[in-house]
Amino acid sequence: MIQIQNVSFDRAGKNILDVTELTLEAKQTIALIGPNGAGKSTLLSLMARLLPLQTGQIRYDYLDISSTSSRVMARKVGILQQHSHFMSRLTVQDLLLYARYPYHKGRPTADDHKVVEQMLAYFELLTFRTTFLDELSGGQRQMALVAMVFCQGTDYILLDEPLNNLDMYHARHLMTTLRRAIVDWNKTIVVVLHDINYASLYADQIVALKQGRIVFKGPPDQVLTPDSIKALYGVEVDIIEHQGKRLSLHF
Amino acid sequence: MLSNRFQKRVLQGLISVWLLSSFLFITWGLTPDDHFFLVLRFEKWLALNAVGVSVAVSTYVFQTLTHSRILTPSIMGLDAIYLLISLVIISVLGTGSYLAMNAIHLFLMNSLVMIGFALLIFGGLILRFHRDMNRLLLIGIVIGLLVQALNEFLGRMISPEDFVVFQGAAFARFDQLDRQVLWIAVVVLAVCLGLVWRLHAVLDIFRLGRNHVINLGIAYVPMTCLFLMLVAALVSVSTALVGPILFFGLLVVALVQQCFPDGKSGYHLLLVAIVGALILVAGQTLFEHVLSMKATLSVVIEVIGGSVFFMLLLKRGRQ
Repeated sequence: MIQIQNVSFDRAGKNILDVTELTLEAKQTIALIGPNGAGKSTLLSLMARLLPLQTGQIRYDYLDISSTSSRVMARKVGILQQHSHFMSRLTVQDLLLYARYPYHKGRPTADDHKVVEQMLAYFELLTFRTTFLDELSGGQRQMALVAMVFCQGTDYILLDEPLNNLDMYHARHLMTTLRRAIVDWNKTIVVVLHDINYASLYADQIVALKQGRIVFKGPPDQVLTPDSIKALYGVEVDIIEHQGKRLSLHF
Repeated sequence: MLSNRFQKRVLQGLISVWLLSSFLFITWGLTPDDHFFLVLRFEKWLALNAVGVSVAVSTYVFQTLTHSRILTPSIMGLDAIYLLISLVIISVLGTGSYLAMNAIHLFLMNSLVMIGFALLIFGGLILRFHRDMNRLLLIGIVIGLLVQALNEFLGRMISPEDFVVFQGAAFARFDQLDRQVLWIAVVVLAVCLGLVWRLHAVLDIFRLGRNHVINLGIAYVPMTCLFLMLVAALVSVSTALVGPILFFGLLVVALVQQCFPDGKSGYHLLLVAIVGALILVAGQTLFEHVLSMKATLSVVIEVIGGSVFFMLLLKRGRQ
């Protein structure tokens, strides 16, 4: 369970996030949606300790991120960010092994190699194990980075817009793989999504942010209505039911 | 992909060349009976290696911390500070006192002032502006310029005779080393280098970027401070030992990364260390013994290193 209390964040004297109370149940996929500049990435960065908390508390199963050591937190929660620029030229295998750092501290054991092998197989990266990241296509690269987060072996995984720049095939492939992985590896995932339809199809819970505040929260088939989306994005949409899921037509 | 065996071969090859040039450097034109000269040469050889390795390794670490391939710790005004210290002593106490100063005192004072300054600048800037590398670079250069202007001002105030003495201090020199100073410096540098080596796995993570460092459970701020202290000590002590070397580290690191872009930090550290030592030892052998030149090797290195720096800048600009 993730508990967020009284978290607000100011940048350059301007408040960009203010969440009084948000509790997210474990073993679920939670989608964060909202217009650009709503504070989704800021919230995720705070949850991942990438930004220092200015006020309030964030707890993962009662582990408070501000009082728990960095090493312990690194085994509890991992994040995949939008763009990673690496100084080293890395193979997929090296990258995955780096994600085991919280366990091996620079000296990988047989266990670490085993986990890497497992994830290479699970995310269909076996043929790319010695390929350099800059030689992969965008979709493959994103899959390698997702595998990296899973290698870290954390209960909670945060994904910041993982579908950015992915084509239809790779976006769907990534989401289906993720959904399968959440069940297979018992993960809780918080993912920032821009496409409401992906959120509707794949998330158990949707949390909508606007101007740094939570507008609504709940399962997709309850909270996704033409009115709620109008309130969130300021766009008139039609919501249709398709195979029991709500889809928004916003074109 | 480069195989491990190939990487090993490269390293072995470089070490052999380094051993060969070391042997040539120390024994050229001498017989085993020339004890005195052999010891002198050995000490000079030790200084060349210590400085070559330290400057190269510190540049590698600094570039990793700042996530940039064109930064070098000495660009941030350290050399100017070193010159300022000499100038202040010369203009306040006079050339006589400067030349008569206890070498150890001068060395310790130079080292401590530079380490202090480096920590202030690097620490303050990197921790505060970690997202804005351009600003960091700019501030560093501006501070360097400021100190340089101060140097020029002071240089005009002192007499021409004093200025000649000062100019002697303005380029790295590997002769006339004080024995005690040399050993203190070598021990300090060796300890710092040992620490950097122990942390090479952490450097690997730092090369992924700040966010990965935090995500993978390394305490970012304390670890950055530790690395900065090591860099400051390495650069300051080398500079205090032989004088300012601006572009040498950049030259070595750029060379290694150009030829072996896909190594890990551990391998890169070994490579830059051996290449750094090799360039200085082989270059000095060539200059001193083959070309019988009195000119300082460091001048040539600065010219080549400076050109590499410009090439890197231009390449980045075009991308």
